[in-house]
Amino acid sequence: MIFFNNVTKQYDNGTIALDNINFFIDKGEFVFIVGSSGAGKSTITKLILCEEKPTSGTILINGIDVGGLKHREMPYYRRQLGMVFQDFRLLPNKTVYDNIAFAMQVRGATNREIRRAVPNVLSMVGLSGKAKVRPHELSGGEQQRVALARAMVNNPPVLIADEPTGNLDPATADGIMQLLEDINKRGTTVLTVTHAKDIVNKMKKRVVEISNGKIIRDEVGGYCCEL
Amino acid sequence: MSFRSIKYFIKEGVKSFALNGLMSMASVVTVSLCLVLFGVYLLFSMNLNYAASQVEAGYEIQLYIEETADSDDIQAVKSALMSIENVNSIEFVSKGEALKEWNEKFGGDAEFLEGLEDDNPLRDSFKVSFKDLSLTEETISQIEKIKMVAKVTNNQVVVDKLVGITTNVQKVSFWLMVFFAVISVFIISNTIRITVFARRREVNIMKFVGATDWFISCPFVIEGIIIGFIGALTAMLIVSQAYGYFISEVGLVIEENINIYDLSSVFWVLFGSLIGMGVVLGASGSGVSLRKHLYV
Ligand SMILES: Nc1ncnc2c1ncn2[C@@H]1O[C@H](COP(=O)(O)OP(=O)(O)O)[C@@H](O)[C@H]1O
Ligand SMILES: [Mg+2]
Repeated sequence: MIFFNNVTKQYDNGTIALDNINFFIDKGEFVFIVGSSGAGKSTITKLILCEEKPTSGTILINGIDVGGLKHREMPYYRRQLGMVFQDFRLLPNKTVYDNIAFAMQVRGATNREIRRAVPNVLSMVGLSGKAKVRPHELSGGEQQRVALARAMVNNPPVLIADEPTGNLDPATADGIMQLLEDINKRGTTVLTVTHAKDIVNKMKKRVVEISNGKIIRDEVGGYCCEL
Repeated sequence: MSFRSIKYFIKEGVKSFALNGLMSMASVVTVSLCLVLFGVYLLFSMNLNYAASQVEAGYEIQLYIEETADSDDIQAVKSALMSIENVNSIEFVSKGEALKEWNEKFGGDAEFLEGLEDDNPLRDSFKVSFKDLSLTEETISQIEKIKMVAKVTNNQVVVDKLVGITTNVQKVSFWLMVFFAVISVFIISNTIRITVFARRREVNIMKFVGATDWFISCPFVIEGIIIGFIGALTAMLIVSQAYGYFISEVGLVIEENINIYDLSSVFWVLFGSLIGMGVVLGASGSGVSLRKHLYV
């Protein structure tokens, strides 16, 4: 499902963010990527999203060689991924409903499909009552739920979350993690980048720890202690 | 493409046109400047072609016969004319007919013609039209050599003058138009660049939810088209007012037998061309900008 084979990423300014990384994540897995700030975690998500190209090595997502994608192929590839970020990245002048509908519209969904799917996914994240509200009227946790709903509305096989709880208090963060786990239980492969030690400890999932661009630990059910 | 998308594209395009107030205004002004020149160019071209077709259709020379000529001489001139290969038709106009024509033309009250019935100063003449207008000069010099032919006149001079003036105006307005077209595209692309920059966050979000370049650029292209469209409307207003004024000052008849179009008969051609050109300018302006700032 997600396969990094000898991946190295050196940015144009010479920084080596990833140094010969290897890992494999199977379909349906739930994996944490942890590590201190600047370790290279976000570089992994950028490579998966095809925002950056690997300097060397191969990245296979769903059997697609991401490094070899042409510019015009990228949108279609990205439609297989759900993405969630620390800063939510909602469109400020659109309602919650329209933010989610937009992700479908972009892919050419019909009005009928949109009307059916959006309420579904809103109730999944527990925001059925907030469809007509704009993002700035929501709490951080609610905004992240909207972002999750948007990521999931097209039923992507893979969900990538880069520090999804980075801006949230612990109680709210737990709620978001619970949602990620629910999504995973429905069969979606979930890759979560995080700083939150408590959460990782509590959830007992596979943990890949990165330090200075190298994987220093990869344990199934691993316990996170070095954060 | 769904109706929802079309609505979205247009709404976003209009919104950023409005939000971009000053830059949008500047773009509209340059586009309309360019299109005013385009309109002038079009009007001159159309009228030049129109005039040329009238001249060709009605081209004939008139040759006057010496006063001393008798009817045998006139007959001789006629057969000489008929023997010239390029002559198409011949019409004899007698002194009397010529006088009648004058009378009609000046409403019969032209005082200087009074009492001339008996002492007609006009001459007998032939009106001659040609088969091939490109051989006009050769044929005229052949005709001039015929005995008893006093003088040959034609409207060639008038035509040459008209063509001379209009081609110069055509040339100048064409190059000014090209110049302003380049400036328009430049300014529109700058306006769109500012929009793209102001909305780069949004553009980024669109990219990671899987929007194609086409989908992302559509609102920006529509913004450019709106600029072109409003510029075209402004230009249309200016050009049609100016042309209406020109006609009211100069009239529809520039020279005897040479008419120009009135406003209503060129209105839709002009309107369509200006709108079309405006849309092309607007779309290419945003295209230039998007190519540079979006597809990277
Ligand atoms: N666009 C970039 N250009 C240059 N260096 C970058 C860029 N993005 C990240 N880096 C550098 O790469 C390293 C890893 O960054 P990142 O993957 O964002 O770390 P993390 O997400 O683990 O905090 C850091 O040293 C960072 O400064
Ligand atoms: Mg990061």
